Amino acid sequence: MTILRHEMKSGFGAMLIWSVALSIFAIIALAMYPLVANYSDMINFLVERMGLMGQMFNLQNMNFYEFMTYYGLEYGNFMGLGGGMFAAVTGMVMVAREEGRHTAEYLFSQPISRGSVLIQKFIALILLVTLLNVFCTVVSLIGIGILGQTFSRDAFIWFHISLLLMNLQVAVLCFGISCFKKRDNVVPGLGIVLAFYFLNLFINVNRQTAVLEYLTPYYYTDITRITAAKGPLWRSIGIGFASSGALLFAGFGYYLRKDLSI
Amino acid sequence: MIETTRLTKRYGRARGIDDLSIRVNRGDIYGFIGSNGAGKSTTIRLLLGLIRPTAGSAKVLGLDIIKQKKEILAGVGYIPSEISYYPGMRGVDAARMAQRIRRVACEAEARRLADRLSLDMSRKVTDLSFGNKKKVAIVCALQHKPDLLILDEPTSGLDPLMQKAFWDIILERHRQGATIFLSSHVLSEIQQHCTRAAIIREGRLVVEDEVHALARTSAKRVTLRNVQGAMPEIRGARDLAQVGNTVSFLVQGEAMQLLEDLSHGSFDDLTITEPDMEEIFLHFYEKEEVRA
Repeated sequence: MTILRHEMKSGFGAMLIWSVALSIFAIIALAMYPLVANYSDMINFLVERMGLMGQMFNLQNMNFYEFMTYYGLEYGNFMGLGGGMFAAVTGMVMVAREEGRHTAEYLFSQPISRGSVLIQKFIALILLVTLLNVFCTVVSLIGIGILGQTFSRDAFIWFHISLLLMNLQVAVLCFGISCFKKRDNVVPGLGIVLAFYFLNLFINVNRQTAVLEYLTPYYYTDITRITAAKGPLWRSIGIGFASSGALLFAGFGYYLRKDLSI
Repeated sequence: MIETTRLTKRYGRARGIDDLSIRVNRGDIYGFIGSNGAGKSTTIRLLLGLIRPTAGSAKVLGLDIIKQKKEILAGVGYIPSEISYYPGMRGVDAARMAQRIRRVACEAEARRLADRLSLDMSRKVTDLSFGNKKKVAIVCALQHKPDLLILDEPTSGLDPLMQKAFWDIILERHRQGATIFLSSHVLSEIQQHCTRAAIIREGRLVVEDEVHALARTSAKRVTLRNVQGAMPEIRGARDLAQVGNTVSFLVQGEAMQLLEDLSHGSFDDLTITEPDMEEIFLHFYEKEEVRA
């Protein structure tokens, strides 16, 4: 478990910074809710007239009288993008940096199999992404408690499980890609997150492209879809994880046999 | 301890090593010599399982380099020519991480080695000079007392005093039973310490033998002092150098022929010595070049 401990130690600081930053956004969003609730009639009225923009963010299906609708939209946006970016950046560099920063020779000249290194790094990635989500969820819960807001406990749990799974799917995908790379470049990871995000906006605008829902994990973190389905969108989640998992296994297989560039 | 059989590594069309067959016996201090890009580091990386061979096979400590990589690495200490550590890591962290992965408690030995090398293990590795980073690598490679030491340019970056301290430690380990595989550009180091050596050129083995046998099979250095008159013609003489009336040259061939040629000249003193490692290296390299 030496590599796991090492990765947790190296990644913990960054995870904490991201968690605090995203929690600040959560607190700001929660603090603004009383104002939004006071003007919910007007917001609903405006949303109906937003046209394409409202459609893009799936706003016309949202009822701003509902706390969870507001919370899901705000928290889903910054946690979806922010958490997704953390997962992508962390996943993208975790394996590739050994070669990119020339530490592979030190690590792999120790008696440890590449498989064990990959598994320990992968566990560390899953733990870091989960800790980030847990941290932000706990801060949100505390904020909601202070606000004295009532909310659907089930919808809250489904939503946060979906967000966590979305972050994990991005992490799995980027970890798989990282196995193929020799340089710890985070740009492709960030590109993937943005591509997923905008693909979801595109699906919202053009319902004919709903088949693309399986390509973007942002689809299953939409609060209106979760509440309508009365639970996480397991089919989308399953297909998303199956495709990311396939890339992960391919990456594992490749890394076990590849020539390390020193 | 190390045996390669027609070991080959190609990087696409580029050559790494070609048909390399060498044998390092238990207790050897084995020198591995070659110019830059000759394939020394490629061979070492193959032996450590960092890269996979294109063809051929190799055994280290009697174990297969592909199937039993982890077991091999447990018995090997490796000092790379250049090494990078994780950001923020101190020397002591690098040594401890290696101890934890190896599951051996050898902190006392690590401290002892650091003391002998005058290394402050509490400093961050990123703040250390190249030579001090090399010392950290030495501590990491030797702390668990491996049976086989693979050293790639181990003394580069070390000052002469540290080079001596390093060799004292290595020879001590050798006396305790360790086998040493040394890749080095410092030919005097090979000549001074190695029992056997191999010369590699463009990925191919040029020669492998006992160091003293390599010296025997190559040219002799002849020095004539106080040469008077014209220098006699010496058949097969090369690398001729004259300082005042002292003449020095390399010659290879029959001793009687040399004596006959020398008898035509006049000089006060004659010394015939074994060539140094550099001359042996150049001799075999030139011979191989002619053959190519």
